[in-house]
Amino acid sequence: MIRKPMPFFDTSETPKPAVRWRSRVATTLAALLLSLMAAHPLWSQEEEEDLTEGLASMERHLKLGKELFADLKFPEAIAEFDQVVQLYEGGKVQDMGDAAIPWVAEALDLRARARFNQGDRERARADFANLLRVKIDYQIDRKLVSPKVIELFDQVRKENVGTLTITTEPPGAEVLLNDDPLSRTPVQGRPVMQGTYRLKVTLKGFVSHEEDLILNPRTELKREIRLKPNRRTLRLITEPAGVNVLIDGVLAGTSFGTLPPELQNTAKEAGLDPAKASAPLLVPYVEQGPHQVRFEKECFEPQIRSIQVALDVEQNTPQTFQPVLLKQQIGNLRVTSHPSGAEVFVDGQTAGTTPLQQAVVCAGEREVRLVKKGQGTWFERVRIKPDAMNLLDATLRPTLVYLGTFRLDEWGRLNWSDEDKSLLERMRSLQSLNQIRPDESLKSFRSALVTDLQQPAEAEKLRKGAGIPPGKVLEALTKFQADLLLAGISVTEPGGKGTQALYLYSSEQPEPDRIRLDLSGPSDLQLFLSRLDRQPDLRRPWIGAMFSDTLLGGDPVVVRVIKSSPASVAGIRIGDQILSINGKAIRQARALSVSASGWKEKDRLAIALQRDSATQNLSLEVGSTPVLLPLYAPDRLYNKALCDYRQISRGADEPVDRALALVNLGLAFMHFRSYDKALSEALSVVSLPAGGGISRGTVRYYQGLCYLKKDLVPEARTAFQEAASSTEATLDSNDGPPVAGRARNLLQ
Amino acid sequence: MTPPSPLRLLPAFLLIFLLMTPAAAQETGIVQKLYENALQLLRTGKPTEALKGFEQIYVSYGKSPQAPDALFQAATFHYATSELDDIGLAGREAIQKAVPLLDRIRREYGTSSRAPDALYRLGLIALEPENPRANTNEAYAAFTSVANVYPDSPLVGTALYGAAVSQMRSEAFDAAIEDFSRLFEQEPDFAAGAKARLNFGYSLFRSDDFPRAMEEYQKVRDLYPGKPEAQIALERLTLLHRLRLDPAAGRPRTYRLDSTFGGKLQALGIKSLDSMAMDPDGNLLLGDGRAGAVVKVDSSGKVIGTIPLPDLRAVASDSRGAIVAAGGGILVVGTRQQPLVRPDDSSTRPVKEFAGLAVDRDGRVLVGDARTGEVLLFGRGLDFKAAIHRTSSGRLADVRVGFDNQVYVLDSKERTVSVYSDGKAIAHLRLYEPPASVSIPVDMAVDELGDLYVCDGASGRVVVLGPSGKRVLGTLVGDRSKGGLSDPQRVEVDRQGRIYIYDKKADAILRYQ
Repeated sequence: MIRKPMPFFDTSETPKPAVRWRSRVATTLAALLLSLMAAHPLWSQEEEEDLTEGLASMERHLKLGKELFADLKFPEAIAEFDQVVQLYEGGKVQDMGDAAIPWVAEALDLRARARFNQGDRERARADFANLLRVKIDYQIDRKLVSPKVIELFDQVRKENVGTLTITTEPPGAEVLLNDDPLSRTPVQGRPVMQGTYRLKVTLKGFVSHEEDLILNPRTELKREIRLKPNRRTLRLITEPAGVNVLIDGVLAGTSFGTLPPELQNTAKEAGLDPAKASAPLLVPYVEQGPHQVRFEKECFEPQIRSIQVALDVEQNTPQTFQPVLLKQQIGNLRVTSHPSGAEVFVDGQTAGTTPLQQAVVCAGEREVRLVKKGQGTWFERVRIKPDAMNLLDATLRPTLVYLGTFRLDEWGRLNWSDEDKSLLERMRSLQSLNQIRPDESLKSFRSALVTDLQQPAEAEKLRKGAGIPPGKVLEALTKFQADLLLAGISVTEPGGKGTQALYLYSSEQPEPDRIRLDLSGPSDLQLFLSRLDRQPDLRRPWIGAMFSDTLLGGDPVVVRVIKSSPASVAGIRIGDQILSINGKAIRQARALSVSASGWKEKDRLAIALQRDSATQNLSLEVGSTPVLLPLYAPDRLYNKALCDYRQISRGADEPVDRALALVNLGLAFMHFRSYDKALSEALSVVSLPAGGGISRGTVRYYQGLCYLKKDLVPEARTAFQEAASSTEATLDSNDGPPVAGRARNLLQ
Repeated sequence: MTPPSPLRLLPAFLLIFLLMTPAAAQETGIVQKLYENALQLLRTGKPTEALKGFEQIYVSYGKSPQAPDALFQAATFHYATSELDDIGLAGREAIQKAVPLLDRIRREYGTSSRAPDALYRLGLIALEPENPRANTNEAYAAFTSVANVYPDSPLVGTALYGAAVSQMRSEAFDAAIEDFSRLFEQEPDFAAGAKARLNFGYSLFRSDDFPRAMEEYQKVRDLYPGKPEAQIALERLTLLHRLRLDPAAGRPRTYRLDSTFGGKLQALGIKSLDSMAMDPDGNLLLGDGRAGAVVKVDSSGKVIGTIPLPDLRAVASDSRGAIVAAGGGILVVGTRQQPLVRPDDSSTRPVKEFAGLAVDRDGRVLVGDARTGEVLLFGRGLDFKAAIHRTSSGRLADVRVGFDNQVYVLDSKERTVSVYSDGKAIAHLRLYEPPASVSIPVDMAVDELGDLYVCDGASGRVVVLGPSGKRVLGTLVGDRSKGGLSDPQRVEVDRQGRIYIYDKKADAILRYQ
């Protein structure tokens, strides 16, 4: 690109070889093309190459010119130097910064000398003048160049150059001449070409100084400028040190160091302990007027001050404020855990082991983490109240990492979607899971995953409902030390129809729980989250009697009483008609179900019943029955159940609870057809006594089912035979269906 | 010459594109068009043309995605039944046309979305009474395949229900319990849950686990309080309370005369009571041969309707409440009627003397021919099907159908009850033997749980027997303070187990509870 020629270059009489016309045409065409290309950003690289080419061309012409100059072929040398000057004059090489300046200066120097040798003294003078405009401090070679030429050069310098001296108070201000930076003050005797200039002196915190200057040759122009402040430095002292100071919400600095002796009295007068106070913190460049200053430090109560900043035009000394004292805010933390013996960390610092009677911790939101090796973790951000005993009772729980939700559109493009906003919002309320917070590491994992899954074959698998590849699931679970992984996949089919599903994986086995839902539907989400947050059941309240309505007599009748159950112990018999419980008349059997009545374990019930036309009063204490996980229940998330029961089986205090957790763990594995794991990790290591209800017969029955699925017929037969002879063993719960009948069916 | 504009070149580009398009894609478009045309023909009442259209697709374009759809549309045109409750509506010819089409979907298009539905329909067909190859095991296999092979199909619930019902029909109640358990575990919100739980309760009862049966019936009441099934459940609970729970609690069932029921024949306007039946709403249907009418009496003993039917000899009700009557060589079902004849090898003869009339679950009519000692089976279309029972030395007294479709035939001379299931004899109860020790069984009734109520004309009592006939659940001898029953001739039982007895000497219908 050729810019407008600089006015001080005289090239009008430069000889033009005939061949140049054609080259000019070609150049013009090329320039036109280039200018078209320049309109498009994609062509910027070509423009760059053109610049480099310009510099190389300059160098070539300069080198050739110098050789011709050395051979005393002055006209040819001048033609080459003209090329150099023209290239510079064209403007493009100027864009390359100072790289071209030494070359063009040398070209002008040699052209002036060539012209001098040709006797053209005036044009030599013009070249030297131009040379000084390009590089005012150019040093001509005084050893090799003829004294006459040096004399001419010095004469030209004297006729064109003056000097400039500028000092400021305070020093260090930036000086600009015609908006070109010159130097920082003080500027001493700086040679400057004669002419008119716009002087600008700027320094942060001060009003800029501007004026017009006329610089004459052979003279020194001096300016002494006192800058006027427009900002003020604040001086702040805090106790303790290390306090963040925010001015109008923006962090301005952090106090540090110790108080110097001369300020100790001031601090003391302000009620501070000089030994704990900080060195004065200088906060520069604060605008005059009102400001709000906040002082904050972890574990201390924040302080807020409203200040008025005034300028000190004369002295510009720092504005000093009353020292600030921050009151320490700490709370006590008492932690119990299930199981106990977990190590407690507060903000990453170890605080003891549960049961932790008392730990002094900073108030405010703290990251509390409980870790029991091999058994599980619990972590959460906990608000610690100051000056109080904060009680924390935590049950170790599985850790969930939520990857996010993919969207696979109808054209097969895969991206992360924001369709899960509502889900994310509601997930905050989950109680039974630790949740990995999204960070850079999770973001980068997500990006890598999307790249992998964008492969057409992988995307097609996603469309068919395959979920996340098992290798990736395992990688994520390991990387984020999680037990559960949740990901959403939203697929839009050609035509616009779409499906959304959540996939829940666990570290226990590779199959996901797949939940089809509407991610924007509040009821769907609520249902899913209540399933995800469901606490693992080991027992439920139970009385061990069942009732039914009947048209004979009107009152509910007892249809079944489980042996050794609370009802049996209380003396209830089948055929009894229930009249009232705790004084409340009972008209329908529905009112007698434990779930409907809200009875809790150990509640005492006063029961009035009719037996053989006589009224009897009995007392019953509500007990509990073990409960087992159904093998196929659509309202259960079996991967969550796997993690929950695994956790309980490792850490339950009672051996019976551990055993029940193991049976449930086995059932959750069976749901996923992981019969090997069901046997080896759960059902074969569990020990329940023989007897009624959930007992050894129950376990043998499920073992038999696993053996059968593995085609281990003899083992299955043995297990079913034992189950079939366990006449009082049940499934589901102590009042569930009998094991024996089912085992007999399978034996047949 | 101006250069051609890109728009002018568009047709040429399209032509090139079409030429480059694979033939398969074009074929798919054609087949889709054919399929839509056939569907349109079906909707506009041109089934023959529509079926030809579907046939063209599955014969000529068997590999097209529309082929299983076309097969399914053709099959369901012939066999439209989609619910277990509607079994019995389809004819033999329709079934025979549908089966190969559905079977082809099952065999050749197992991965298509129609496959689970085809399997499910094959399961239904395997339960159809008109299907010559009806087989409950095949039905079970088809239904369980839907649930096992296509676990994401919306038909899983209905298929599991079908599997359980198939087991019930095979009298495999233990296995049915397993299937019902699986159904409720996998599909807790199953649409027909109330009905399924009633069947679950019955299966538990038939597995000799009446307490758990009662629990299950109670669940019907708790889970579906506003549904008709809740009332049925209450009635069954009452039945079980009377005949199972009380005896188990050491309180043998005793019956008391219900004086609130006014059953004097004269008061009811009945001249002679020839037959007695109970409709599904608990109303008594009283056949008055002399007056030639059926008198409908509600549970309070009030006449709520009289339907004139000349020469009436026997009356019954089907499961939907339609009156079924026979007499004068005519069989009437609701508003339909036709000559009641028994085709022989060479000729047909009218049936005029009756020993019972009943309707089974599938709407088939059973007629006791007193003259020949045969029980004749007529299809839903009232066409004669077969004689399912014949006695040469005995005397046919009554025919009844139980809740689970079993047919009970009372022989008053042999003093036996023959029990049939799916046309096959499955039991033969000797009433004269202990514990029943009935001398002259004149009539019989069957309650909702298959218990038998046998009216002993000689001893003036009604003996209540369990379904196996080996256990006496109760004995009704009438009000002893008034000398008991004098001449019991007819017996009927309602759904909650109240017994209605026609005592000829008292000239009244007495209700006991």
